[in-house]
Amino acid sequence: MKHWYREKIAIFMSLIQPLIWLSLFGNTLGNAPQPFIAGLEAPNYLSFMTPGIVTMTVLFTSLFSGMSIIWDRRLGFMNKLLVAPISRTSIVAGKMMAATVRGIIQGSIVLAIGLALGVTVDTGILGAILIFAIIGLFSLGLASMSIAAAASMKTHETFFAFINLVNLPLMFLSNALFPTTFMPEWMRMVASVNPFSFCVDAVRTLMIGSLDWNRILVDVEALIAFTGVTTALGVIFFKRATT
Amino acid sequence: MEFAVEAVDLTKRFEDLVAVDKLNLQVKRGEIFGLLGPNGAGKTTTFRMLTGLTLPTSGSATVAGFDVVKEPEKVKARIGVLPETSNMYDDLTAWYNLDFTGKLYGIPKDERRRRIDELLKMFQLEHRKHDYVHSFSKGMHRRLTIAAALVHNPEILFFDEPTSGLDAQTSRYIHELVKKLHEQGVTIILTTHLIEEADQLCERVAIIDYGKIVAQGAPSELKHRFQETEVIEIEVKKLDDKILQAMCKLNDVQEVLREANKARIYTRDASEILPHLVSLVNEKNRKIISLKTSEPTLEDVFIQLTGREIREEKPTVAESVRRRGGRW
Repeated sequence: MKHWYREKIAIFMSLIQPLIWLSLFGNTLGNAPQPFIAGLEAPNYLSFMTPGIVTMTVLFTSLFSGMSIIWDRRLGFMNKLLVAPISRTSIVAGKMMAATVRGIIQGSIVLAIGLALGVTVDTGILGAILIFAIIGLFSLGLASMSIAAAASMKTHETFFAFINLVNLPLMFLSNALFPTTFMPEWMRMVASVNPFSFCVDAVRTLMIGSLDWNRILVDVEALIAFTGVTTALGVIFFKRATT
Repeated sequence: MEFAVEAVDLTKRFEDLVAVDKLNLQVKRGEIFGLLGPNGAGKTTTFRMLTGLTLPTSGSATVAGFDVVKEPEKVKARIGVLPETSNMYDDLTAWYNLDFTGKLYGIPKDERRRRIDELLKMFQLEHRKHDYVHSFSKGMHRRLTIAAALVHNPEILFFDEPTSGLDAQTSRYIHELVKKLHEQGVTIILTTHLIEEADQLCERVAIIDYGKIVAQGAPSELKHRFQETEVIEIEVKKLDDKILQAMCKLNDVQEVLREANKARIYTRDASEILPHLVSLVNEKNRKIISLKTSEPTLEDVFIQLTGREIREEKPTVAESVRRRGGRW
């Protein structure tokens, strides 16, 4: 188990630079909506939207995390890990952990920006902790999906194509930007099973609502199901690709 | 544990292609063993199976006393692997790369630190230990990669194409290093397509082609097996097919191969043929530029066994497909 940790540290350290770059990107995303809500529903819409933006950041960061596998494979580092006396499960677990941590950090930065802009976390410190946990869970789920994809794709072009195909629908066909009541029937149905929606809903409830456990639990359960499936797939595909 | 490495009917199949075909090989403890063959022969695939990077389709291999399929982690803890390409993290420092590798192999902190210092000194990298690896020259990079493979004191070192892409000086350094490690009792297995490297460095060599071992033994032993064969190397002005064919027809000639402007004539007794050869050339009104007889070299052995030179002549379509398919 120590091996996961070691693997994570190395990946983490070697990616500090892109992390900084990505957090700037996150910054921009956090700022983008500003001009739009300037006139109208000011604090309300911003508050409405922030959970979505936070989750969006997590989405982009985590979906991209599988890239490390593609680079590793190309540059030969993967072989280094594969000849070391650690199980393949440890390797992929380490990568998943690293990606999750990155996702949480990115999301937190955007959240912090939101807070600086006047948004509040109505459920206080406990709520904030729960928020980290939830975005962590979602991040893990996405990272695993990304890893599963990266492991099974031969070229990075295919990988990018997949990521781009997946991220926008996930984001737009959800409750992140608009309440689902605004949407046509078909869209609402998709949004209601979209894991992105569950994450946003949970975070939003914790930010502008109260500790409505019932609601939060439903969201968390959905996320656990999502993450459970993708993690399993991640491990399976990784093992298959490295034999 | 008798052998450091033992492969029994090791086979690897990729869809239709059999890259490694019921391969059997034994490497004795503490020896320097070479796996020699042209590109596409199955060397790298064999290497990957022995180091746990790929699962064999059938057959088995025991490395450092453990089965590569059943107990891969035990095998990996005892072997060092040096792939042809680098496996260092470019954006980390040399020191950190070694430390990370040490952690990967479960070496406790104090021992790790000590070992790293030892290795940095041994490989003359001490002064660059806190520099980022991307700033290293190819030779330094290679030294660091080797150092990393030795962090955990492996019993067996697998070296894939040790001197590929390196200059003469660094190549010699690597050869010296191999000899030094050998003195320390490390078993060293290297794959190479460079015949001289196999000849000079290895105690025993296995020649591999088309996924099979065609001969296994000490270089001198392999050459002795072909003692009957001597080689006459003759350089003739205007060496064309006509004269080559005429040479083939001379008595007692086993084979004639062309290498640029030279003809290599394989025969049992060079002194018998020599006069006939010279008169033949004179008959055809050609000029002899140079003439040399020699004992068989490992290269000759290779040609005899595989029927072609290692710097290949144009392969047939079947051969190229096979070779391309066999590459990862």
